[in-house]
Amino acid sequence: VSRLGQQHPLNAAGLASSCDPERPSDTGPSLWPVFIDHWQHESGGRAFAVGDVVRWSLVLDDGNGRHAPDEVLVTARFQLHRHPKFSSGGSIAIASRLQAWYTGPEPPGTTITFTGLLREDHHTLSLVATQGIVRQLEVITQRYEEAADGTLIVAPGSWESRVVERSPERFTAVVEPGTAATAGWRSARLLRRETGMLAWLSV
Amino acid sequence: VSPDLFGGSDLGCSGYYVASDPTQHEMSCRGTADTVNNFRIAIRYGFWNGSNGFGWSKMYYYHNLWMAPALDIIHHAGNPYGPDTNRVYAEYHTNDNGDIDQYVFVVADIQEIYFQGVKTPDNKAVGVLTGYCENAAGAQEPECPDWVNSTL
Repeated sequence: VSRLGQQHPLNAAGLASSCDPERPSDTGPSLWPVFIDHWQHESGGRAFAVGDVVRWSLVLDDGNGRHAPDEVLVTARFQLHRHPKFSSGGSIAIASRLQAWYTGPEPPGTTITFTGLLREDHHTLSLVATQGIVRQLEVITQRYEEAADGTLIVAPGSWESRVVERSPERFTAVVEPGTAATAGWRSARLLRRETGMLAWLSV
Repeated sequence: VSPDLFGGSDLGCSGYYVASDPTQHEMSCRGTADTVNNFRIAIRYGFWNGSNGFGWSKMYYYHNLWMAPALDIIHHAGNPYGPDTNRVYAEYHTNDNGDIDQYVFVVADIQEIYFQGVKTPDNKAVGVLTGYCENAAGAQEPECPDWVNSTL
């Protein structure tokens, strides 16, 4: 079940479905929102466009770090299965034809109702794959703010999206203006950037 | 794993798993660097199979980013950014006019101890997943230019 039902424009287009997570027969939405970090795509990601068939490694993420709005979080029931090759470190979560890697505490063999963000991750999680068709694609821009340890983290509530037809060749970033007058290498304080993409998959 | 395999190396791998033949173990440490926040990040040997991989092998064989510049970026990046357990370390290069003409990124997982089902023998985070370059327009470059590796 996706929470996009009430708010996301895809619902107005009639593409999304809603269902009750308490009903055992529910197997998920007809469209699954999948977030793709900019660096995942920039480092070995394959370009794609709306209408393309894609085969991605997915992970169930609590979404807290990315501050994704509720309407792009997924709530669905997943059956957990042991990976045939790897006995630890996570399990395969299956809902209908969608498979994702799950690292929560529940053991294989159980069923969970999970609410969070689906992410594409071909770096750490090429263990399972889900095939789908990209029905809509958005580029996401977010602001950054400094955490106590100096790390720049995504500012809550700063999620902005723009609809695109294909994955971009570049993800723009705005950094604090530098003062150096000579050529050389610099480190810059990131103010805001296109943090990634949100693809709506029919699976 | 034999305890002596956790011994040191020239690149600061003391306390990390170092295989006697690093090419035979993807989790073998090749080097570490401290971030601006005093967080130690490892670059492990990793692998690159032509379509999938991580660590030094992916950086070097796929993106032509060498060890020394990657360690420098981790160490010098003033404001690492990223959600949850991922961190992105970035530096950029400006020309004589002050215009940015090159970007370099190193991405690490600072918490996860598994990579595709394989656990780090030292129980420390996997560390660097990848590193790559972008040109002046911000578009990804399949390989980092050699001048990046010789000047960083």
